[in-house]
Amino acid sequence: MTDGKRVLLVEDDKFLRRACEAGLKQRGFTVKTAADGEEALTLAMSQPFDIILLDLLMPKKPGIEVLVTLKANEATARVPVLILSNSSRDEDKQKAVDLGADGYYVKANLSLQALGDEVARLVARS
Amino acid sequence: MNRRAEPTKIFWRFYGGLIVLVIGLAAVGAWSTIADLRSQEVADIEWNLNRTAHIFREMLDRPLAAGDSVEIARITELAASHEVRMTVVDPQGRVLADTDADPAALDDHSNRPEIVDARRDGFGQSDRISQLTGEQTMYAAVSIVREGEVTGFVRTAATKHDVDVREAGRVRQVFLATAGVAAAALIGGLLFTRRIDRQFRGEVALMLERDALYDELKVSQEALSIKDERFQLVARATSEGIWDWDVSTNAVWWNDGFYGLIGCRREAVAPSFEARIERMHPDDRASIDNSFNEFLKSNRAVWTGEYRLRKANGSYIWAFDRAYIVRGADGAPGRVIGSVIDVTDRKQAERMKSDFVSFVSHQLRTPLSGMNWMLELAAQAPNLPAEASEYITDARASAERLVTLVNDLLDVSRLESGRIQVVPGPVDVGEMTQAIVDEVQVLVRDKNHRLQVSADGGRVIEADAQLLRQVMGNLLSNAIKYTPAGGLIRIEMTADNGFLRWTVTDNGIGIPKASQARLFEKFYRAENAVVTETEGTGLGLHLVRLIIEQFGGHVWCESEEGQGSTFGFALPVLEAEARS
Repeated sequence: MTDGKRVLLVEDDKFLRRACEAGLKQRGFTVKTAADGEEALTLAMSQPFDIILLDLLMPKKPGIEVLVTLKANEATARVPVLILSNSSRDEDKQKAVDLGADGYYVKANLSLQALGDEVARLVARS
Repeated sequence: MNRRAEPTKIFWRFYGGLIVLVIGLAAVGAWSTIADLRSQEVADIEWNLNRTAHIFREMLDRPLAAGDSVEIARITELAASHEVRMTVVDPQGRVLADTDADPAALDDHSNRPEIVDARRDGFGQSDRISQLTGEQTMYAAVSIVREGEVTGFVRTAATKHDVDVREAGRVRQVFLATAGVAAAALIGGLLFTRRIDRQFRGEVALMLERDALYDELKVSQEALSIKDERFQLVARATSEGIWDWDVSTNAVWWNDGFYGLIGCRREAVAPSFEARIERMHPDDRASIDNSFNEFLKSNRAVWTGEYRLRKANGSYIWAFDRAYIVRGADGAPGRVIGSVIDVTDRKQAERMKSDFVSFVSHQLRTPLSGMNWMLELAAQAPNLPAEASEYITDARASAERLVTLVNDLLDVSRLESGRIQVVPGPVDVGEMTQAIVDEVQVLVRDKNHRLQVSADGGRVIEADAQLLRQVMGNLLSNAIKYTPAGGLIRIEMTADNGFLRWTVTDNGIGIPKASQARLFEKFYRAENAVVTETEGTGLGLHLVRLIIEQFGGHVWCESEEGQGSTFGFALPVLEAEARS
């Protein structure tokens, strides 16, 4: 069911990117990675994805701006976006949900197992 | 200070005035009549004396010059038939003849005032006590002159006794007449006043009442002006900005402090409600406008809001605005008074603290997530030596503990600064307890505990579900952790007095009496907890207390060392629930 589903992973931290990518690939997803906001948008606009995992605090373009652009663009507006941040501030969470994010998780509180489950759930729904 | 005029008082006020007036007029009239008559009579006597003196001077001119004493005696006898007394005096003052007395018995008359005047001016008058009769007497004297030589004096005199006697009679007459007229006037006045009184009592009473009301109004106006002055002084003395908005007329007033906040001179900006709104930061305007309009429509008396206020130089200050509303009887807003203080410094400090907390949390959490995820992947690696697998499990436990510590620190910081977003809603405590029990089943089984839940007293309460879940989770995981394997844990709920009491009881190691009082303090860990179980941040129970107190409840702990402990909290039950 998850086989071949395309995941765009946007994460600026090298180690997190690597771990997350490995975890998702183990679950059978096809993973593309981006290290900053601009790269993420370029990738998202150039090829289709089934889900986008988005960090908030990143160089070049913050995740919130990426989210706004994705949701404003017809090609990407319907792709589920899962926010993976390390900020647990209520206002950040509220803002992301208001702008159309499908979920918000604090990375430190999330195991790769749980992340894989959630991504599989969202992808199956869409 | 009620000065309402009573009817009888009005009557006497008028009639009393009339009595005084009538008596006064009568007295003045009578006195002037008597005085007038008397002066008339005195003038008559005077005229008569002068006339007779001149007549006798003509008659005595020749006999005196000739020294004809017989002729002088004849003329004197003639004069005696008149009502006046006549005296003839020679140039030396000797009395030659007198109608009323023997000339020989009379002393020198040259010093009599009328004779002195007559010798100097040819005519003299006086009004004095007579040395002969001892009565008040009027005199007139003329000198008799022949060829420039004074040959003698003729003097006439009349007593005023008769005038006084006649006057006494007239006083009685005038008094009686005046008294009669006055009595008639008073009786007439009495009848008239009573008629007026009956006819105009209402109007007069109203008039007097209006006078009294006017006096009262003046007093209260004075009091008001003192209060107004006090307001003006306070408004001037305070550094707070004060705005005063009359809703019906839309008139607005700003004090000097408000102009100080926006950095403008009074002449530069005319105060208006719109001018204040216009100076708000565009990002704040809509939300402030909404909450203020909602406040105007509500029945609340006080509104508060925080917004950025633009100064004349274009920079912004953070303003804390607190408004008080005066409403009409129908609840419609009449007047709103607001006071504004500059909270820029506080806002900056808040922002710095918040920035610091999120910076630290992010910076700590990112490497922690990396460790967690890498270890998770490592644990799944195939053909892992048993020893390495054990190390990885321990490393994951340590990383988890660090994550918990960071989370707890963040929660405490946000709860203490009041920055946490509390979303209160109805929470079914029985259901929530069951959900948490399900979550910890694995841990309970691992330690071979027995867990009993009696949710009979479960109620719906008003709380933030996520925070309450954290409280229950903390208390329950503590019980599991600090109870040796094979223990018994009981969760109980009871509702009484509008409060729901939720307790978790274990038969674990218990807590020394000395430690119990400090259990809910930040960073505190009981002595025996440190020895038996190294996992724990010392923040969990502090967090529990902060959350429960945020919802208006309280926490407690009962324990006997070696016997076990009971931890509990009490929260107010929703009103609708409490009534049913």
